[in-house]
Amino acid sequence: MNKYAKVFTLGLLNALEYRVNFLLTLLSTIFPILIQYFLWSTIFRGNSESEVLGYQFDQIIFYTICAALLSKLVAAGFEYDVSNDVRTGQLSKFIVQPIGYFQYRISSFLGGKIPQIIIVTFILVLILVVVKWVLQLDVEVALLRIAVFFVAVALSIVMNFFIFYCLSTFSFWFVEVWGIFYTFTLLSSVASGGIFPLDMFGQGINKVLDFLPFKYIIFFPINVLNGKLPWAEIANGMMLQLGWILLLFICSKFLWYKGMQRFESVGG
Amino acid sequence: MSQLWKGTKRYALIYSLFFKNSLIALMEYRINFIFGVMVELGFIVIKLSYVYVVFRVGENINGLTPYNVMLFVGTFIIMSGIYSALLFFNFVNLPELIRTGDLDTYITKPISLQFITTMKSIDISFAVPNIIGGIIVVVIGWNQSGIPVNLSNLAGYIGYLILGVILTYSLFLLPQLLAFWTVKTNGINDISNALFDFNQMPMTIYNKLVQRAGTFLIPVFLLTNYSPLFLLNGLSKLQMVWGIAAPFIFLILVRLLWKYALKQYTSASS
Repeated sequence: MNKYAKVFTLGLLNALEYRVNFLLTLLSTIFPILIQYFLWSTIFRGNSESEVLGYQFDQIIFYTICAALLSKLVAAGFEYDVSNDVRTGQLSKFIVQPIGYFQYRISSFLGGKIPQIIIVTFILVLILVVVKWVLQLDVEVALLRIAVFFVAVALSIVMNFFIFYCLSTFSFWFVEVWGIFYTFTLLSSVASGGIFPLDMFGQGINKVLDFLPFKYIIFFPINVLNGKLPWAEIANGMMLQLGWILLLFICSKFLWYKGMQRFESVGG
Repeated sequence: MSQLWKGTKRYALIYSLFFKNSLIALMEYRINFIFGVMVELGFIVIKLSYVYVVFRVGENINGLTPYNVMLFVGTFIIMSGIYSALLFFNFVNLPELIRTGDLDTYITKPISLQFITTMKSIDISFAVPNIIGGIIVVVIGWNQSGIPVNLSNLAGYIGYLILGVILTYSLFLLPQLLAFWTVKTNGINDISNALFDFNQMPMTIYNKLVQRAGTFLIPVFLLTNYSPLFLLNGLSKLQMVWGIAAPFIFLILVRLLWKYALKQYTSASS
């Protein structure tokens, strides 16, 4: 177990090294947030009602900011490394050494998330302080919600890891995979609620999304935080997150088993 | 005059060769074509999610019906395709040419340096889904907005679209020229791409200050907003004239700056 703790630390140190890069990534989300800010202010100005599609103005802005932060926080990216390892035969290194590739990847990934979580928490607390009066939440409830929110976010980070770990097995069947990875990332950002809250899309689309894991990555954690969900549904949602993690874990084991049978270890 | 005509013909021929080369490369790496199409389809889904939400809201946005908004988003999709297929990769590659000194090999060619370095790579895989998808969105928006399809409307729409392409070229090449002094321009790339995305929604959603800045200071809104605004009779006389003048002003500006910047070039290595 000790060696994976080491990998975890390495991932953490690596993310610390590139902290400015992460901050810049977060900064780049300001522009889409601005576009949505102007869009919604125009819509609300022309509308006599205080709610549009079930959201008040402050709520939708709060959602947009949280969604932008969360989508950067849960982002994978290691799938390209996997593809590289498979294509160049680097994967063999792991096969002959007493280290599991899966354990290596997840330790490094989670380690890298620690500094990012700290940065995002800091920004979120700042935003929460600013808009707390907007949400009009009881302080105690709010604190409890924040605590539960972080558990939900932790689960969604793990979930997203498994989704992309499954996806990375494409590398065994195709030499070039960047297009598949990139397109998947774009589509999953829409399907997880990274751009608009999913309930805005109406019932038809949500019926489909209910069968997919994506909504538990961004949409669900934010709904925990903004108080849209009653406690019973939060508990229910977290059970589903755990269920998805288990299912994706089994799925990834199977795909990797199949993939390894095809692995040829090119290069040397 | 005949000199100019000959020059134009020569450059048109060379550009068609660039195009041919890109097609050959495309045939060779077919998977990249498929990936390019896939990625752009992903981006189109994101762009259309905005339209979908506008339809769900169902109200007019500053006087624009959801179908009017489709005109803007469709034009934005078309322009994204043109930008990424014809210009984007040349522009991001320019700092690299300067950094490595590979610009030398182009300087020695008997052809305009600006032409060859900013127009050489073409990748139509990014244009195909965007132009087809964008045209479909525009046609639906045009039809449902009840705008007559006549010669003046078509000419105005396509005219401002072409002016938009010229302006896109000038506006996004400008920041890359900084590479002659600073070598790396990553940060500026991100910002200028973000500016392009401001056209995701009609410019009328922004407040007066942003609209003015985006029209006169850094005219990003001219790239894709004037074509649909022309159809909707939303352009003032001043805007119409500025929409025609600005692309050429910025084209001259970028040309002058290019010449000035090139004097700073000292080559590298070797």
